[in-house]
Amino acid sequence: MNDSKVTINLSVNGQDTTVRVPSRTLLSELLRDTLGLTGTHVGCDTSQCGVCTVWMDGLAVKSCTILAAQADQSAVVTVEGLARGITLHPVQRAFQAEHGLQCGFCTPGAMMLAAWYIQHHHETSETAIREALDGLICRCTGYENIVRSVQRALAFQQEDETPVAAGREEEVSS
Amino acid sequence: MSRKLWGENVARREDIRLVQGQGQFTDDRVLPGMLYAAILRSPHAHAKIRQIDVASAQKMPGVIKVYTGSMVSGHLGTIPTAWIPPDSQLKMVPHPPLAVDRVRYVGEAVALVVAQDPYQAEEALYRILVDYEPLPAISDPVQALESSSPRLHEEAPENVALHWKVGTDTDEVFSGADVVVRQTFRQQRLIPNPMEPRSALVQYNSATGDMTAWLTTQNPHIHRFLMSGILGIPEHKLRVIAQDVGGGFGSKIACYADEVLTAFAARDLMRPVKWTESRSEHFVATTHGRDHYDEVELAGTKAGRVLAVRVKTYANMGAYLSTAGPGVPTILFGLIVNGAYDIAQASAEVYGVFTNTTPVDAYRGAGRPEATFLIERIMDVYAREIGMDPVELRRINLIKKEQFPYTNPFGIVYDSGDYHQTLDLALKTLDYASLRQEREALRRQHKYMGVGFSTYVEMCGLGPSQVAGAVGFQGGLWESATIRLHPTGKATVLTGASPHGQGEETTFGQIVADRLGIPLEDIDVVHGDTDRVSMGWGTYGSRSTAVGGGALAKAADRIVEKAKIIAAHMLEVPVGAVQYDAGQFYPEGSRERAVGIQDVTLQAHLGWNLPEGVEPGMEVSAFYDPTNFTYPFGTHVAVVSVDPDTGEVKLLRYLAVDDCGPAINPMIVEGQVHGGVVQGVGQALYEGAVYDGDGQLVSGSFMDYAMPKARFFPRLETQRTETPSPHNPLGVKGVGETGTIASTPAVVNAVMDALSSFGVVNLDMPLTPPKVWQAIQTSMAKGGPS
Amino acid sequence: MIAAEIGYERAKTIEEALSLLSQDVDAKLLSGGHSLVPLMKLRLAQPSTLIDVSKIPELRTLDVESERITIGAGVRYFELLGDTRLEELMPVIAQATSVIADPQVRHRGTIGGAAVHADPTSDLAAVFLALEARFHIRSAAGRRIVPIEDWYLAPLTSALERDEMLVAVEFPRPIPRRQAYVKFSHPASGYALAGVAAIMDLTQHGLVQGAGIAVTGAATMPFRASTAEAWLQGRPLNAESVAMAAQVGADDGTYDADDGQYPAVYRKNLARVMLARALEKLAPQ
Repeated sequence: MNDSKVTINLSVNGQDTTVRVPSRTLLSELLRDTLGLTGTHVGCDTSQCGVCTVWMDGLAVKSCTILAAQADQSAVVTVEGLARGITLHPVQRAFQAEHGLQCGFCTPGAMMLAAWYIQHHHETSETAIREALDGLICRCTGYENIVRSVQRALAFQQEDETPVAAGREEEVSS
Repeated sequence: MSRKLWGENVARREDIRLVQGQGQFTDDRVLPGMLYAAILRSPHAHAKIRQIDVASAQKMPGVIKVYTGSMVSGHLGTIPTAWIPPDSQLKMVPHPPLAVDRVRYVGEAVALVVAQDPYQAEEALYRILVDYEPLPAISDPVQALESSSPRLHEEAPENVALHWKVGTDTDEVFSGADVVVRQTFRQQRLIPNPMEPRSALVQYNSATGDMTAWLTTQNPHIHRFLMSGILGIPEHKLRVIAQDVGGGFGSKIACYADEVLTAFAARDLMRPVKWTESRSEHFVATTHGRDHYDEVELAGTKAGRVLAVRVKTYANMGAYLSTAGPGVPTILFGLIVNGAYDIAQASAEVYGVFTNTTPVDAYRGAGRPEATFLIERIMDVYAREIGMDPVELRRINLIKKEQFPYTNPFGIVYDSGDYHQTLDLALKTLDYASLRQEREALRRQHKYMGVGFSTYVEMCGLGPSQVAGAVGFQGGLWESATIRLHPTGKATVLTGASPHGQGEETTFGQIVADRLGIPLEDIDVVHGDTDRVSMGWGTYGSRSTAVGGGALAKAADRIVEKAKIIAAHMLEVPVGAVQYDAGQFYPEGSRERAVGIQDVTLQAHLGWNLPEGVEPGMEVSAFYDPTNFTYPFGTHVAVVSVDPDTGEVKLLRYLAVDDCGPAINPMIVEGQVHGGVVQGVGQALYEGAVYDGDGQLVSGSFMDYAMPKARFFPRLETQRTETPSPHNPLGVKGVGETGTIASTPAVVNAVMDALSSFGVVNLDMPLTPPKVWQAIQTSMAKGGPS
Repeated sequence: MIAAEIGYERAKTIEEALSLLSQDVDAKLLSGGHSLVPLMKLRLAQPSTLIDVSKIPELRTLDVESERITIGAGVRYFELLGDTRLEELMPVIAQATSVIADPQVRHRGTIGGAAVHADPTSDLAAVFLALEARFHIRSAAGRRIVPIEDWYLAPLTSALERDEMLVAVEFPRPIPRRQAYVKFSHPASGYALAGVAAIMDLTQHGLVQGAGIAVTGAATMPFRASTAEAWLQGRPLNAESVAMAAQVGADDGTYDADDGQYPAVYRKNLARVMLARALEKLAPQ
């Protein structure tokens, strides 16, 4: 019964995939090493920094603290799946508009957290956003422009005729 | 000249790939046949290695080879230091890439495993048997000087790595002064923690002897230079590439054993090898910052005029000398301990001390935050001693506008400034008078608010190469730029700077777009590749825009110069009659006849009809060596509250007024300030590397080492004044480090202001709740607040 | 930082999980994994096989009955935050859960995981103690219920036996109406340096009735501030009674000698301060 490999069926960025990996494989490793989706980065090994944040069934989660096997039958969205074709997600546009990134290493995680936030919360206050950003360590920006990016993303989302985030929800919860 | 993009908040070009997850960080890269390396690190702070048994590790599935110190020592040079401050009696102790018979800090590399996958490499580490004989260890730099302390290196019998003195004779002033204040400060050790851990991927072609190394580095050419020597690979056969680098903060300057070993294995095995550190490794294996004990004395008058300042410092160097390590607590620190003040006499004496800790090197600001902290803190101590408002004290002593260029007591020349202007702007923005009233009102309700100032100056834009040589830096500090215009008028710009978050792909594009009249989207800025960029010294010390930008401006002017000759030929007028404006060449007074730079460039490439003596093509290089450092300055103010029940410090407001010269892209400048401020506040309130008595790093993960988080901060306020530097073609001064340099003392001064009624003059950073609470308790035991 | 090799099994039912668990002494149950996976990476835990119970529907139920509220062990933190019945009947659990770690962790961590991991700084530990939670346990041999006073044995050790599984946490009703959770977090880990859950009713004359007060994080083990509860019974809640209750409540804990950065004397002070702040929140405005 100590089978060291496991078969996983999951959807990644809308694409159904079946993989067989060692059981100890982390979701972050599955994404980066097996599927070549290197947009998701890994910044720590104690589940603190949130750089590896992706969506699993519509929820922001830390992919370094989830076994790939636990993502079986799940829909995973990574930074590579945020845009719709050539249309960037409101969060992507907002991060560029508000200079919400510098080195760009934590940015995929920051954006996945922000994208989850704007989909589920409409609170634009500094305090609420800063609380939500507790799941992220960024060493470059001092968070100031990330906060502004989230506020801007909320505005972009509202401006968009068909909110991109709402469309995504259907996709990932299927 | 019209300057369309100069001063505009142009959205960053690098963001286009980074927000889509299309960046290429070193660990993202995969090569066919690639192997994975893992490094076994010493669990002991100090031990003899009796024996290393790799037999069982070697037999593990997937393991290709296990290397130990004795296996590589004959084939590899030692890890060098590249900064030898003159008159410092620097002890150049050998630093082998893999320990041979002794380890001197927790995290020192002991063995290297190369395997087919990263799991196998790490599994094998658990099977290497090292027989250690633990030795007593020492982690504190002052204790390390005691005669009973363990010794690290035969070459440094007292554990003294360097002893350096600078400045004027201050004894007379001190003995005759009305007021002398003294204070000891601890500037704790910090762990840089860029979010991207270090990584190296090395490929070797045994047929041609070419090696390519993708590295997380701030200075690929320095890495090439050093690695070529250590590995014995001719420099022209070694290509170092730093594509996207996820932050550095000084920690990616040094040449580490890790990349050297990875390269060694790639050559030995003739397969690509990748090594990536984990965050846990980063905590012990990547250079640390700060770690000073400082004794500071200030002599002044009762009326608040500072007469002299004297500093004695014990700087922890760690177990070995890192690449720039010796320059940080000496040149980058001692020469500016008078800060932004007109002080006639000043001196600094520094002991660099070996301890059983991770080597210490540059960390955002590197030496200048330490110097600024001391002068800004002792100014507040002095203000309290003579009963003067710290703002008034600063106003009296700040160097005045008309004193520039100002030669400080160490002989360095501050370029330009209006220090009082930033102070006035800060006071006005904050409404300082009502802040003080609020503070008094709160105090009556037993609530404690404090306001703290830091009127800083820093020395950056490193730097004039002649000075670099004079202060023992084993390299130049000039910068290179190449502008290559393609036949269709598109531009490739090559810079020796190596940005890793600072946004120069955009700001450098803005400079070129304006000077050459080429749209920003037609310009690619290339950096971080030693095969594409001929030479450069990298990004650190707030130098890239001041020095690299200077080279770029020079190159652009040369392009215009050459294009003008061709344009004159095309327009059939003498060169002297050609006017140039934003990419358009035209005869004086006849703008309608203008030919664009794109047309001129096409003609230059076709070569069908060039003026006599003009070579075809349109590519120029320029090398810019600044004549002086630049000196950004400003006033930072922190407003804090202290909860006397828990000792918790809350940052209520933070205002940064900076002058870094003109801002090419104010949005990017502001972003640099934000990041720097938060990092500096991290030192004041949260961060601190803690070693136990055995030399074990206790704060070895994000679970224990408190990184600043978003919810710790209020909205940051920024303001700017603009005083150009006369020393470089753009007038820019640099802004990468100002926030970190200024904010630490501003916050500590604010907390001490809040605690003043408890009689607390100084507490060691980080000002954690237990420390602050304990100080209040001690005061309460003596009768409570005054 | 790579976990040792492991086996992995996905259980569809509680019975299947228990059967797998009984076959392998080194197997461990996996739900959210946010305590276990980091420990495995550090090799502080090296289970032979992980039995994933996260997809067992019975563990994800939330029943509100007149006598009790029963929450399946696999209910995740964020689900505790969004439930309107809990918001009405036991808001303290939402208050405590909303300050556990960060949003990503709250999306994965489960109430059962918090109980079983028995971390002495767990926010929910204070809620379990204050509300006198009962732990529903199953094994191949049968079922048992462990009351809260028998649950926490030592730091990181609960009463759960190796072959047992926590299936639900029960909170007996009625639950006093006034509830509060306050916390002082560790700046790095986010764990509670001191967290206080307090519940009580006030009579129409404003006298305390049936207080449940517990402290997590500060002491060696999470503890019930029984002395404070007893002292407050029948007293009005005002500045003096709060201060006194906080004082005696903090004394109910046993504090480790020292942990370097946060000495025992400081943590005890924090317990007192947080006790006072929690009680202040319950006082009539």
